[in-house]
Amino acid sequence: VRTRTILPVITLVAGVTLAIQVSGAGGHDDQTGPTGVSGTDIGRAAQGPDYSLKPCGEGFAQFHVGSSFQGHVLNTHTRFCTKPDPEPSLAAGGGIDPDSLGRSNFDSYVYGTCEAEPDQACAPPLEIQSWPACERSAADYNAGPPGQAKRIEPIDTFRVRGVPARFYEDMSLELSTNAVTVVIWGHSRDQLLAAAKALRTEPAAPFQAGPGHHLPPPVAGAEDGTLNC
Amino acid sequence: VNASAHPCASLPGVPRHGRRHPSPATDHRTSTLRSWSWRLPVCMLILLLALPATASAEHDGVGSQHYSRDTQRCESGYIDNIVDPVGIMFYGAAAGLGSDGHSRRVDFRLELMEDPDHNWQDIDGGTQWLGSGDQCTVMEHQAGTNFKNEFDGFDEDARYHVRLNQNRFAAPGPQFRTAATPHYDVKTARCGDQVPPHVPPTSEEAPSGYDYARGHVKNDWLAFYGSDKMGDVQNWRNTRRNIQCLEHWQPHSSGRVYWLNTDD
Repeated sequence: VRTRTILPVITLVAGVTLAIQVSGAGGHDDQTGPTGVSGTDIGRAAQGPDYSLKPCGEGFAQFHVGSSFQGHVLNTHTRFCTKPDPEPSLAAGGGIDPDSLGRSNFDSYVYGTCEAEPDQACAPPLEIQSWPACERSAADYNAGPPGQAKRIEPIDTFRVRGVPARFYEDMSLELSTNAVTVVIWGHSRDQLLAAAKALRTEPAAPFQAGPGHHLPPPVAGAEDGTLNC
Repeated sequence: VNASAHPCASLPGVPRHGRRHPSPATDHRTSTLRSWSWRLPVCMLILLLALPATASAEHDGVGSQHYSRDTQRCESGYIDNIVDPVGIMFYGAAAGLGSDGHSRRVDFRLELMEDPDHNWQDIDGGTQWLGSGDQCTVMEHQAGTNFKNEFDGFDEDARYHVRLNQNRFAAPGPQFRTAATPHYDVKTARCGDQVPPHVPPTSEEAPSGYDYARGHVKNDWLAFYGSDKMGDVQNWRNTRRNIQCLEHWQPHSSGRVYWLNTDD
């Protein structure tokens, strides 16, 4: 199962890696190249985590908090889905680094606005990102010097609306529900909790969840990075 | 916690701050050491476990320090002034003198790079800060490419730009580190330099100005200094979108961070 899951990724990755090393500068997320490489070229990928990707056109439950929240009107609703950019690293033993198999694949609702000066930027009052759990889970985060990287841990874990919730120091709250990882970016813990209680799905979502009600529990693998797309 | 119960609490020759000092009498030291013999290995183990944690604590799990700031206020959990996501960590054993010895080295080596389209150079840009440990320090150096006309499909001039901040908390040490916030600047008439949500702008599948610039710096670095300079790829989860002065531009980072080696 493991080999089958990562084989398409391996094939893509090998080509991209060759293209990067041959072409040097200039390329970014859309390189292509020759294919064909063994599974051993995926550095840490043979350990169990899943690195498959969901097709950009394939839907998943997208969460929001309605047309406004605490006085902040819905600013934008945007879908992001980029191409992967695989990269070998020393930490992966010279093979493709599994952390380079990730990409942006999420749905974003931004509420309210902020005033950025020229040449600057600012964090909006509230943003809700919904990611396929097979592409983003709490098991994916790590930081630290090469060879000493450690998992980025939440500073608090608890349950909200019946599902696991993780509060991170950067004023974000993550929920695992069904096959989705919901990331709420705010400015205070109280605001984040209020937003979590107001979460709801779009009418066309694979499952329906209204504000205040219990959310579906996470499917197997949604929290530990082993869920197959 | 009862301090005296700690295996290292009053170990002979090891005061509370951990430095050894001479013991006054040999016979007293011998008998004391015997009584402490069981605690020695435990204490050593605790000290060994504590060392790497201290060495890498400057960024581990501290998500609000994964962004630059537009004011000199960087306390943990405060995110009202965050600007650009950290996208690259440069690291290496060699550095110049001074508290910016490593970021200066990175700056110098960035400015040596060339690719068919760009010439990296020393540039000036707005001042920003970065937090590490309990410090909030200015981005010491900046490098960028020359502005190019109507580049990558934009109507305006555009360039690559990176600010550099040496992590004082990690240095001096076996590895110096410099955090970098690579981004793609589009020079707008109304708002100055702005980071677009997509490069090129016409493709919704195209990466953001943060991801695009991070990839470009990485590609140039590996092409110029060798493909073996990619130390690690990590996911720092700093994917929060920001709002530019051009309000409809709300770019994000994919959360990826490259560790690029700076040694020869």
